[in-house]
Amino acid sequence: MTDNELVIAAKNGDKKAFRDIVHKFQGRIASTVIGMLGKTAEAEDVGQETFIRFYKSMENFRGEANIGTYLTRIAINLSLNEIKKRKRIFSLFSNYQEEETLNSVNSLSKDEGEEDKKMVQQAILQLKPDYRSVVVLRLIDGYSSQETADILKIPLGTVLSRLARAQKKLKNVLIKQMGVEYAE
Amino acid sequence: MQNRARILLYESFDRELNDSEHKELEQNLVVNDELRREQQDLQKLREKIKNAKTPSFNPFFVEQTMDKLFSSVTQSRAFNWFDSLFSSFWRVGVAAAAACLILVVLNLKNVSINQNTQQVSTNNESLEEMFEQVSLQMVEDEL
Repeated sequence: MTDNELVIAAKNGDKKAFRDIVHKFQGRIASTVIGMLGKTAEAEDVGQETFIRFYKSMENFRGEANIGTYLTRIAINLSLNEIKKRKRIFSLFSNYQEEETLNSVNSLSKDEGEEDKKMVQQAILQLKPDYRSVVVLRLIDGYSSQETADILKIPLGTVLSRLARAQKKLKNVLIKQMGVEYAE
Repeated sequence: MQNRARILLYESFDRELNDSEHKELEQNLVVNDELRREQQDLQKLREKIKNAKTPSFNPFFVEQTMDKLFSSVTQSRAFNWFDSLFSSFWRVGVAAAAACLILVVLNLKNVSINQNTQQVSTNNESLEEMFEQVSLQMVEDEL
């Protein structure tokens, strides 16, 4: 079954078809959401909410856009909302950013145990949400710059400038962490 | 000039440079060691980010999502039922409340009219009594 056939079947009440959609796209959504929020409980919730929102708005889905892109747009918007929510809740604590980063990176290291990955993830989580979203979409998810601009609904020039700034910041952070490799 | 070269360097990873831009960047890379080093750093960085595969959701993600989805759909259906019930009957409710209010006002008016009538009728009785008393007295006087 093609993606559009799955959506049509799901629209007609076929639960199995919708289950197949969730199964097929969970990896991509995990990459986006965990890239934005770290491997936290909220990331799982946002992942689930992404598919629930998609299910509820399926009637409006005309099949012009790719399902993966459509789902990624929902996921990135929900992730940005979650970051705003976290910021509001934890704004009283001055060390919010560090705590958030440490918690998510610790859980990552437990799961994966790869030092490099931990470092890169930690560096990405230190970026401001606007910069983090372009890095996740362009460099982790592998969308083109134009697709990234379309998903975030920002001009291509903004994507390019944010990418450049984000990479400079990431380079600086990683130089501090993995100094030798970059200094050589 | 160097700043433009750096911008071109960064953009070369994310968009197709045109011929003149490409040539300009190449020329700068030949003469500028720092820019060349930066290009290598960027390549390494992007490789690291690309290879930092993010972990997946928990193994029961699909089942949990389906459970959550269909419980939320059921809830929203129940909510919608109450919603549609409310939207269908709110006018009837308002009309009934208005009717009750009118009935109460009318009843209160009737009560006050009845009270006035009772008062008048009480006065009438006393006049009749007076008339009776007068007529009795006249009869007594005649006798």
